[in-house]
Amino acid sequence: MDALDRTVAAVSDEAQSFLVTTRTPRRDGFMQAVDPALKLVGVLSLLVVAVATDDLAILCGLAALPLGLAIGSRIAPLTLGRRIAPPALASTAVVAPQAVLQPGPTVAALGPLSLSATGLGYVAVFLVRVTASLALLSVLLLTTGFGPLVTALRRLRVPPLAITLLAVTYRSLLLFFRELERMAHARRSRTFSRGSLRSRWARSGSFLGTFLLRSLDRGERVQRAARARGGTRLRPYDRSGSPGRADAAFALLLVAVVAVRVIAA
Amino acid sequence: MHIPDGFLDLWIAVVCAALAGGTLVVAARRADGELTDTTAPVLGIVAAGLFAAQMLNWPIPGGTSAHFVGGAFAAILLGPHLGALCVATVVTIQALVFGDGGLVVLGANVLNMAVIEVYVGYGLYRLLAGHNEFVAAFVAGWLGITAGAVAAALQLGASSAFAYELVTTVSIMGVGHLLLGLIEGGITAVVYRYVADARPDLFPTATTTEVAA
Repeated sequence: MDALDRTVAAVSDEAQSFLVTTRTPRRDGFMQAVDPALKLVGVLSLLVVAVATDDLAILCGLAALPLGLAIGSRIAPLTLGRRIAPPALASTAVVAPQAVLQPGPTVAALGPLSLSATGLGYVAVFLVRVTASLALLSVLLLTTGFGPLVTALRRLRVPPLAITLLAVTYRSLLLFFRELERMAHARRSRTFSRGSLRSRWARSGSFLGTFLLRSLDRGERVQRAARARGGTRLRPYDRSGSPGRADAAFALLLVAVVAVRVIAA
Repeated sequence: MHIPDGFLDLWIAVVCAALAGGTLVVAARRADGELTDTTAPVLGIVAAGLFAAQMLNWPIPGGTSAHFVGGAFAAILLGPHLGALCVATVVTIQALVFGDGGLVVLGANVLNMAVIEVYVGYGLYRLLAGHNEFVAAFVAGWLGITAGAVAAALQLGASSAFAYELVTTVSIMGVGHLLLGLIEGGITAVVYRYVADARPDLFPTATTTEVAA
């Protein structure tokens, strides 16, 4: 089993379980009850507030907010933590040297390196901002299925072509992960020796090329079927109801956060 | 190369979103003849295939591996406008489903990976394809991804939220991707050769003889 086979097995399992077994958007919780369009605009507004502030107290509040929203939406904090940990750790690794690089009063010395108060302050603000942003986006994605998200985009007047592309791509993802799995299985059955790096590259090239050609062939079949049906443009439908209590509560929360940010400025 | 939220200043994110959005609108208009109600699904399906292909690891010396990005390849296969729309769809799905890259900076990520990488890659391919198509595909993949990384480095270096200087971000990301891009170029060239041998008619630059064959 070479790198390509190992990835296909790992990625296919991971992506399929991610796409199929994500059940959190269907739970009966606070954020799940909020209208997807309001939720999308609201989270985007909170992200804008997070990106546009350097106040550590406000950023800490913004970082705590998604945790509260997750608990209210019946999402385990551990689930949220698992989702944001890898990019947050990567950001820490990127920005941590600034604690030493930035000039300012020395707080502590680590051998020849001295940690400055300015540097530590910057690192804290940056990491809390990034973590808050990651957590807010994760709460949105954990409480909203892709279907409602597309509906929200449609209601927000995103061009129909963009929506069709997103919807078709998303629908086809599982199909292609399974296709990859089948192709890797067949390739493994035919392979008897590991071969040199050059031959593995050539084999990987024909594998990926075949896969992309199959994608195109499938696309052309779908196109012919679509033409026979008279088109594929998603027809807009009205699912707007009167705002519920969850919508009102979320809107109030947004107004409160924006008001705090404005007053603090 | 996916920038998360919090790394870029708001004004830079807004400018990048405007540039990316404007370019994609022009791309959709330019591809109008090719992109109808019935052809849009082809693009969506190719985007799904590209998404899946991006997740494959390729063996590289030393027992490690790298993965394919495919912006330049999409441009060569579909043409620059459809290629840009295809990669923009992939980047958006990555943000909206898997949380790769932020929401406020989505425009910046689309600009780097779906606009700059795709158009630079395609431009280089067209420039060199007359001499040697295999080499042209290699250079397109290699320098296309480097151009996207340099654009990301410029955005990061210009942001006050990200404390590293412009020189630092450009040298680290530029040099890093100039080296990593060699692998992207290699994969692009190998896949290009296979697809061009199997279906020469697919490429917008294919000659009538190739299509007839």
